[in-house]
Amino acid sequence: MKRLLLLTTLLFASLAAAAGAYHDRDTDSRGVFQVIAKAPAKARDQKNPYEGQPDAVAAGEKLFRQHCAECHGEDAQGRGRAANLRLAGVQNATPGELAWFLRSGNLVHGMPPWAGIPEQRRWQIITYLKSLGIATNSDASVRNVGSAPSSGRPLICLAGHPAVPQPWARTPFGDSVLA
Amino acid sequence: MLSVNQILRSVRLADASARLSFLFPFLLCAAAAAFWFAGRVSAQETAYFVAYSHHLEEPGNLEIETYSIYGTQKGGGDFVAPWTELEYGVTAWWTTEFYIDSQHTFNDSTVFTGTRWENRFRPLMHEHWINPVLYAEFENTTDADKTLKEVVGFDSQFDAAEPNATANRSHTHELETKLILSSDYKGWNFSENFIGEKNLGHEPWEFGYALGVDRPLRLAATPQPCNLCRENIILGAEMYGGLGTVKAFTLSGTSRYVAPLVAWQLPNGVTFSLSPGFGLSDNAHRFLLRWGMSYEIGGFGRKLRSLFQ
Repeated sequence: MKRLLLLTTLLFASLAAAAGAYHDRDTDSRGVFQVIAKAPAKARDQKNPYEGQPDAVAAGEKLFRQHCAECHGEDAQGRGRAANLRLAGVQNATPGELAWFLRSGNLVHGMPPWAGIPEQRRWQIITYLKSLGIATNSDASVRNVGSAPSSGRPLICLAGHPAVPQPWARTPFGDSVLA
Repeated sequence: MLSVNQILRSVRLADASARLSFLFPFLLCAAAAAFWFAGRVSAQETAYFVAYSHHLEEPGNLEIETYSIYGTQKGGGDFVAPWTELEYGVTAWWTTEFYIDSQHTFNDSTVFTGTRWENRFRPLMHEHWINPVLYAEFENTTDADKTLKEVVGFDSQFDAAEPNATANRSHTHELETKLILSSDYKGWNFSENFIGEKNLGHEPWEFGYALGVDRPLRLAATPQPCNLCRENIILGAEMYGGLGTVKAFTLSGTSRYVAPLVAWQLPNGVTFSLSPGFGLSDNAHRFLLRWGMSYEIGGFGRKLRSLFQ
C-alpha cells in the first residue's frame, strides 16, 4: 500500500513538474511558441507535400471544422484556453513544426494529440492554417491574444502599453480575452 | 393455477421491465441533451469494439454510445446484450466512461445486468512509437452479463448457458485493469491490450488479451463535404481471448475470437459500427455479431458549465 501511495505521489509530482516546466505562451527568437518550437530538428525541416494546393486548403478547412473548430473557433482565433491559431506564435512556425505539434499535442495544457487522423489529413489542416496568415494588431476580432514575437507580451497590450513587463504575460491574464 | 416457479418468473420479468422502463426516460433525456448541446465534431476514433487504442476522448467532449451483441449459444438460448456508454474527456490525458448493461436471452428473459465505471490515463505526455495507456474499471454486474466486452481467464460460452434467473442472482464486483499499447503508422492503428481482472470476492486474477488493427479506406480528405465516401469508412479486425489465471497462465482451454469490423464515421459526429465475430476454440461462442452507434457532443463540459454561470 505504501509503495502504491509513493508511486501515485511520484506520478502526480512528475505531471506537476511537467506542467510547470514552461509557460505555453512563451516564444523563441522567431516569435514561435516554445511548445511548438521544441520540435526535433528532423521534424522541423519536413516539407508540406500539399503546400499551396487549393484543394488541400479546402480539404483542410473541412477537417478543421470537424476536428479543431470546437475549441479554436470557426475563425481559428481561439476560444478560452485554446490558442488563437492566427498569432505569429503559430503562423511563424515551419510546417514541420506544426505537423509535429499536431501529432504530439500538449496534453498538460489540454491539447490532445491528433496522431489518430492520418498524416495526409494533418498536412491538409496545416495547409489551411498557413493560408489564414497572421492576424494583425488592428484586427478588432483578435482574441486570446498570446505573445508578440520575441517579447512574450500579449499583442493587444503592445499598442497602448509598450512597457508592459515580461512577467505580466506569465500571469493567468496573459491569455485572457481583452479585446 | 400458477406454479411457484411461474410466479417467481413473472416477478423477475416485471422487475426487469421496470428497470428497463427506468432506462428509457434516461436515454430519452440523453438524446434530448444531445440535440441541445449538439456541436459539430468528429473524433479520431478507431473502429474497435473490444480493443482500445491510445486515443482518448477529446477534453470536454461527451460521447453517447449504444452497442449490442448477438451471440449463438450451445446448451441455451441465443442472446442479444445491449449496453450504453457515456464517455467523457476530463482532460487530454484522462477519459472516464460509464456503462449500463442489459441482455435478452431467447426463450428466457430480459434482465438488467449491471453498471461499470472505467478510467483511462495516458502516463506519457508525448506521442511515441508505442503509446501506453493505463486502464482501470470497476464492474458491478451479475453473472448474467453477456456483453463480452472482454474475455479473460477460462471464460467459456457454457458460462452464459446458465438461465437468467440463476445467473442474475449472483452479483460480482470486479476490478479490471489493462495495459493498452498502441501505435499509428501510415494511417494504420495497431493496438495491443493486456488484461488483468480480479473478482473482489477472493477469486484469483484472470488474464486476457485483445489485439486490433484498423485503417480508413482513404487517407487524405476530399475538398468536398461528403458522407458516403471512402475517407469516412474504416476497416479493421480484432482478435481477443483468455490467458488463464494467475495459477494457470495458459492459452490452453481458453476462448479465442477473431472479428473483422467496419465503421462509418459521419462528419456530424455520428458513427455506425458493425463486427461479425467467430469463435476459434471449442468453448467460444460459435458466432457473435456486434453493432452500434455513437454520437459525439463537442464542448459538452464548457456548454454545461455555461448553464450555471
